[in-house]
Amino acid sequence: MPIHTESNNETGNCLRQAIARRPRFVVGGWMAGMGVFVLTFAFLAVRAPGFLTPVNLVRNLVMPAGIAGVVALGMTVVMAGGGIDLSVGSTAGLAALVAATLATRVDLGLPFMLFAAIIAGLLIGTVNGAFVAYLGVNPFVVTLSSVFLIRGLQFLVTLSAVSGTYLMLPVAMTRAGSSATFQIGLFLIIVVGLYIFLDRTRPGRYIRAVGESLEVARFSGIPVRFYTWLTYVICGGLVAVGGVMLTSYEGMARVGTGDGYLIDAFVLPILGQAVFRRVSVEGTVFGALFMYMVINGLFIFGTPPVYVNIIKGGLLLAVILVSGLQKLRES
Amino acid sequence: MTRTSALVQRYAILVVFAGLFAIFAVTVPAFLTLENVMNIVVQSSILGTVALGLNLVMMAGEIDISFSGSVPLLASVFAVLLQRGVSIGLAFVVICGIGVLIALFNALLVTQLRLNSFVATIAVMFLLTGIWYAFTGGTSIWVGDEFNRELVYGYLGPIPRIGLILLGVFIILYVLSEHTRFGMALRAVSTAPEAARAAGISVKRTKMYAFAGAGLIFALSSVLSIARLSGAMATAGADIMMPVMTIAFVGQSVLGMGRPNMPGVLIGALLLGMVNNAFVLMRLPFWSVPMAYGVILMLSIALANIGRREITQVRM
Repeated sequence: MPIHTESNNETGNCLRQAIARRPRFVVGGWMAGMGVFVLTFAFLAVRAPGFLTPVNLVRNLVMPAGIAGVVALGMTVVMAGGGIDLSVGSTAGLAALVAATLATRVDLGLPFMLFAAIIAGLLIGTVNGAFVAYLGVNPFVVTLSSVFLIRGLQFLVTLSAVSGTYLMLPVAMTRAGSSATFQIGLFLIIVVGLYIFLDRTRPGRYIRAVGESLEVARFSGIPVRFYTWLTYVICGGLVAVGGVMLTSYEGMARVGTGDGYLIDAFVLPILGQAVFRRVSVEGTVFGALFMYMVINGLFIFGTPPVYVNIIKGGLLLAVILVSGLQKLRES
Repeated sequence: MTRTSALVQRYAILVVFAGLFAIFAVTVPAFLTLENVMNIVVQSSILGTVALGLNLVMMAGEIDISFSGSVPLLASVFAVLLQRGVSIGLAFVVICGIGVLIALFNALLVTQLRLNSFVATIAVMFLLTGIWYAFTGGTSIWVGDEFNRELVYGYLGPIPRIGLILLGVFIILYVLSEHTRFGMALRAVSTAPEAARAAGISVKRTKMYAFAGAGLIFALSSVLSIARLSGAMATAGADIMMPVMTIAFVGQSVLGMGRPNMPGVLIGALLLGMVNNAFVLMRLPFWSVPMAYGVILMLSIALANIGRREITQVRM
């Protein structure tokens, strides 16, 4: 999609001047981001009853943030490589259904479920990546059509005729899945592993180079098609892990499980980008913890759950507005 | 590009359309009756109208995903207004107003703040979906079937009125986009903004008009969706996003245009409506329909991409 900008426009100039006169914007730089985070945390600790209990922090804040965070980390890799993947929510759901279906048929334990789900996710990522990187199709369009196809596959896997049919996991599986050690442990392993991969290894830096500038990366001799493809494959695998975390946390799966995580996968990396000035693992983790802290706080204050999407959408809009204003000021 | 691939690119979608029609006509009983063909028109009209609006924005080189939040929201506002005893005309004016306001907000984000239109309008979509969900509580709102009788079962000759509305919107947009200065300006700002500016066209204003026009069409489609279903549905938003995007993108590859065009959208809408209709008649499992849409979208985009292999990147 071509994006065109216009300069020397009267309104734009006025807006730019208005912004230039202001002191530095609040949500810019990680110091400011951390400040907002700490202040919010302190406010909730003082004013929200029950916020500062270990049970609340672990079960209602970090565990949901971890699930959303792992899905969003998949998107983070793709965004770092200059792409986008609209099928993250559906892929997570498909992986969850593959795992759940296997769990109800054979008794092989959580690691096996995880393995099967990751294979499913990697396959989806391979197909998405091939269309984007080797056929040059617009990633929005590729991953949008994947959403359709995956939705069909979800029905196929469960062989259910109704989208509301729930697939209950065996109790042993649910017990493992709802343990904080499993959920948070997996989240931490992925965060540390992905951080090292993306910022401390050669392939990770190649991915960043491709994301920064396709042309420069190509002239530097980086196989840009391969590394673009790789981002989608990694994304598929990560998102699948997120799907298993989700299904074992909830104890069930159904067609459409995970669809709601598309918005998280969008918001969190962009939130992180606004604070850390680039799409990054640490930014996405920051975004996940911050957003779920805000949601947790609002729930304690009695906000009905129907407002969750308004909160997420509003947060995304606020962040892109701020980053838009920043870009305008810098130009 | 070779001659053959150019030919394939030009006529492939039309051949697929005609081929599928012929196959369905022969193999599916009750497919080739006037009643059923008109049924396809009715089924295509809502998604088709929304896609025509989306296409107007795409012609200006931007995209507006917020329709999948605004159409259900406007439909439920319209339904609630009718329930409260507001006249149809006034309720329609109100939702047109809201539709244009949302569109102008999108245009502001895209033209003044220079945000990527996909990201900006998807944020607005999430927000609108959230507002719609809080507004309706996730339930359907029924308005009785006066519209239904009027628009869907009211015929003018053999054609249902709802189909005529689709046709009317199409003709207006076709003339506007292919035979007026505004249409030229639309194409100019998307393909050569610098040249457009040099020729004295305001890029921002042209884009703003495109967004506003789309906002009006989305408001109109929300009324059509009420007419078809006798109410504002609880699941409307998620259901329209993917098919509408598919129609708009399939439209780009019709006649090898490789650019958004109104006739392509009409053909895309009928293609999807036909597949949906035939699959239901054949009693295929319902999830095969979205899978077929996915395949159609992949194929049409692969066609439009013949001879162009550069990786497309997305800037946030």
